[in-house]
Amino acid sequence: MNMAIKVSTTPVITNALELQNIATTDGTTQATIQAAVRAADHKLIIRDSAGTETFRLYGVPA
Amino acid sequence: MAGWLLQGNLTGAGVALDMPITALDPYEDQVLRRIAYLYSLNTTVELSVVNTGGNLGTISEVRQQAGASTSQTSAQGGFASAANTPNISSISTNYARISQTVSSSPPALPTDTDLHRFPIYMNATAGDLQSMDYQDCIDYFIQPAIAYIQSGSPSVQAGGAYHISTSSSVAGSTLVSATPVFIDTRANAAAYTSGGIGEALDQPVNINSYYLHKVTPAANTPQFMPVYWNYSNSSFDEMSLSLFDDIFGPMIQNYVVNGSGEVGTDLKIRYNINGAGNTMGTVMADTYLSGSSASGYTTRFVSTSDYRTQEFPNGTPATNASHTLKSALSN
Repeated sequence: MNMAIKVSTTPVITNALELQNIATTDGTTQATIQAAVRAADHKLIIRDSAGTETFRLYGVPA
Repeated sequence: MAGWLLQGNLTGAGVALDMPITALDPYEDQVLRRIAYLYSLNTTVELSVVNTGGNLGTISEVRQQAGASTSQTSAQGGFASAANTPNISSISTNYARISQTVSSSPPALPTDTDLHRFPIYMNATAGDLQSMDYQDCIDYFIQPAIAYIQSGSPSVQAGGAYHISTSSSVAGSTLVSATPVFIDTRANAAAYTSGGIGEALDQPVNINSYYLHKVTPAANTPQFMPVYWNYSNSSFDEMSLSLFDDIFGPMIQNYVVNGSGEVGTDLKIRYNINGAGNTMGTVMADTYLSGSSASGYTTRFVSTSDYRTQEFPNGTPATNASHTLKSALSN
């Protein structure tokens, strides 16, 4: 038997396991998501003219 | 953002300004042309025309002139023989009219602010994007621009290059001086006549005057500019024209004077005459009439007391010497 998780009458996790209506995330959740993206290791590194990394942008593959 | 991103592997051979795709090549030329244009605005290795004492040295111009005439009476045997008539001779004129001035205080190299001021390129080895350092700018921009300037072809991409022409007006170039740096003359054979004996010895005609020009292209604005990493905003930005000019103007004006100091990276431009390097424009030919003196033996009977002879310059034109303005590179 499925049973969606709702806050009041608003679903936040559907029976199809879809996250919905999340208004914000706390620090722990943010860190978890960031760690997951970082772990995928799809990144763009910017180096200065001395070769030192000065900026790293993580993303997801196309 | 409509700029372009260089790709290349600086650890490999044949480093050059490689555009990401061939279709972008015209933009490479536009950028190099802009750099040469910036150089033409402050040509830190400059040539000028002086009347005498030019420090590029002396070149000689030679022509033939008639020998002195003779006059004998019939009692003396009439016409003097060719052997007894003075030979034609050469007279030379020296030209030392080109002076080179290398700036003693060229603009300083631009500051690499935050080590992120210069264009970025894709470092194929690491797969990262990296801001260029001075050597990268030399490899990708300065050296290719200097190659155009020093090529000897007075194209719009050779801003600031000096070259020689027989014309006092060359499209895309500015005449440095109305004073020719070399004049090729020959004896005017038609001016010497039997009836004119004794003719004046030196009767020259100008064949070609050679002038010094400088390539002065009109300002161009590249359609697309290189991209750089905006360190303050953490963004990729296309360079503004003013930022590009502030970087590459002083850079080329400095490097043509001071060079790179590294073997194999030749950036210093120096001009010479008849030395090493690329030919800059038209070769200055010193021509003369090549006939022998005896072939120019001519007589004139005036009276029994006045049998005249004289030997005139004659024959077909030949080249005595060729003088060439060249530009050479060193590190």
